[in-house]
Amino acid sequence: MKRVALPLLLLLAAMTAHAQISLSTVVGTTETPVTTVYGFGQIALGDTKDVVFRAKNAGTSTVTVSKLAMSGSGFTFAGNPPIPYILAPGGHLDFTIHFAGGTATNYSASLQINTQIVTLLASVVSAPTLSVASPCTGPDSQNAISFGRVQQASSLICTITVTNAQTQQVTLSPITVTGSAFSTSQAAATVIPPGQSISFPVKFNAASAATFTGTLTAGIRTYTLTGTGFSAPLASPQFTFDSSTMSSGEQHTLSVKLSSASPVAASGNITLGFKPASAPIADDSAVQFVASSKRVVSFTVAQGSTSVLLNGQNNATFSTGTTAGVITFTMDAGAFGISGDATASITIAPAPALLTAAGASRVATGLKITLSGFDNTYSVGTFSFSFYDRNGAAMGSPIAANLSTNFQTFYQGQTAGSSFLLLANFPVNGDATQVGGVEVTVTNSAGSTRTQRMSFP
Amino acid sequence: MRRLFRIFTVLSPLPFVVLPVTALAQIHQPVLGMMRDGNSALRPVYGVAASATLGDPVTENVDTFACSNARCFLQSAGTVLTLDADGLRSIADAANGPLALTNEGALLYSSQTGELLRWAPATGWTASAFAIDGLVLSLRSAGGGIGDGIDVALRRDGGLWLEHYSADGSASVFAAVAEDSEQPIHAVHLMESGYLIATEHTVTLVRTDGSTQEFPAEGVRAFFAMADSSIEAVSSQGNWILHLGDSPSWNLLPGVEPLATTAVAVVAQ
Repeated sequence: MKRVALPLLLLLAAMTAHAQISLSTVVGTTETPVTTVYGFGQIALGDTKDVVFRAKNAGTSTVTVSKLAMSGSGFTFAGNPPIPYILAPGGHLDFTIHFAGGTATNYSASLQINTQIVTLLASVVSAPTLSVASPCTGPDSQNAISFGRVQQASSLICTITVTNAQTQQVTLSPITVTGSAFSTSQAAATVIPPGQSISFPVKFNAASAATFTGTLTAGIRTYTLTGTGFSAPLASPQFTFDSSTMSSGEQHTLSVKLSSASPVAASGNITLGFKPASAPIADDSAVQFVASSKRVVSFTVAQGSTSVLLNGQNNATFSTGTTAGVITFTMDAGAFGISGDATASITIAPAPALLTAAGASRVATGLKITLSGFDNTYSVGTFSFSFYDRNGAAMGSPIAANLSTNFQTFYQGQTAGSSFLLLANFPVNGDATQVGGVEVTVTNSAGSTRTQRMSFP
Repeated sequence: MRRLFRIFTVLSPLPFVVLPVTALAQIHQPVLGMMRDGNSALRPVYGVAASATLGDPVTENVDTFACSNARCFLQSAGTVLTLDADGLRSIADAANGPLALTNEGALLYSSQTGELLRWAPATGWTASAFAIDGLVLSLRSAGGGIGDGIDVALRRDGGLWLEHYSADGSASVFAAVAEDSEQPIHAVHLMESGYLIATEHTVTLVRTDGSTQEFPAEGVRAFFAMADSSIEAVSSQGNWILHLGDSPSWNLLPGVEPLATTAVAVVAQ
């Protein structure tokens, strides 16, 4: 009883497994059921073809794939399927079958998975050979044809040549191109006489800076088409300022145009740099783009435009600070690149001290003079105070004061510019009300500045 | 705060000391005044008008403010605060309305109560009924004190009027501001030397002698007194400084990085 029962149980188990396993082919995420026959189709002589199969447990209990075998010529397993393989309910085993036919004829084989048998068919046929002309390359071993790199918004046409080396004419059909970036004017089918060739163009249009793919099907062969669009560097920028001459203590606007239309919609930054002319000063933080208090402003330029927007505006306002030196603007377009000089410089020349406010007042026992301004040379020190009586006559000689040490101390480590507020008190012996006015001369390394006459109230 | 204290120390009268001339010279960084930055923080502005730098915020959430060289008044969430050499302190808990400076302190007109509030360090607040017909946009003390009454800029009957109110409450119109329907006036600011009006593209300085000067600025919606001689014009595209003097200067004030908004998660208990 046992000798009979065991094979019966195995048979029942195999039948159950057969019923539970469903076979399909897989392309990407698409599964196509396979029943008893599966055709690899026509395959050009010399070509190979791989097909992925999926054995899936469609039942509700575990099943073991204990046999996965192939008999026949031309078909082989790619790799070694891990047999035995236990499939949980819903689980699957993927395996690849590789076809490589040696001669132009029909091929068949039997694929067995457990007790299920599928007949595999393939037909190897002589096919015309395809070649591409420079600058395209290929087809390679993966039947890939490359159009290389093409500047964005331009196109490249490659000539495809198909040669019939056979002794009888060949109808090349279909001839199709897919992919939005690729096109051909070639008819969908054509006859190639024996020993002859035909050529047709395939156009690659690089609409943007990206990699594009498509396919070319010529008869039974399908080729992958690839091409990459790239953006040309931006043309050199033209920096324009609202004034041809600039001095310290001013605000000016910067606007930028490209010398020719931008090939792409691009963006980047314009950086402001400052190098003080006088060594003791490391920097002047007031030299900046004012709206953001920063030394960088972002820019954008539209495709086909020469106008560069700075932080979304037509121009950007910057301060010249209160330090002599060189202000530099540098445009950086990052990966877009810039051809030519992307830098502009402005020299802020050393100048006599500029006084923005001056005042004279009386205090309890003397006079107080207030001066506000800046010295972009950081060398101010010599002051001369000329006092006048109420009738406008000079009162003695001007009083000189050397405040160099005071200013050097004040400017030490200063990075916010050279602006200063000087408060000078003058004790007066006698009747201070006789003093009617004062003029102050301020001298630095670039020259002297004299105030208007200030009246003491 | 320490920098701020120095500002007011510098701008306040110096004690008299008998010393050689050079020793009597003091050098400081000039302060243009205070500004309300794009994040509504009050900051000192240093340097010269066209090349200014900003100090650290003194306080935040400022709605309006007015500063002289010696003192600031500001409104924040309905509270009036004063800022001087002694620091920042609240002087009123619930007072809303246009602020103006006086020689000694500040004026505030409350449209809600119809009261004119006067503040001075010695007396604190004193309130008096002061009926003003219209929406008060700006006010100033006439003559610097309060004895000469106040001037107000107000909207009434669809028009913009500048009126003088004497101390006894009697009113007289001293100017009607012509307003183009296509270029409405968005802000007005009374000051000692005249007044400012802002339309969509222009700020106009009208001096007491009637002369005018225009400055280009987009979308100015408010004016604040930064100091005795400086006015801040606030717009969504940047803040400007009008530095008054013989030749008024008009420059962009440094901007600040917008504050990052923080998402607040509310968890039900």
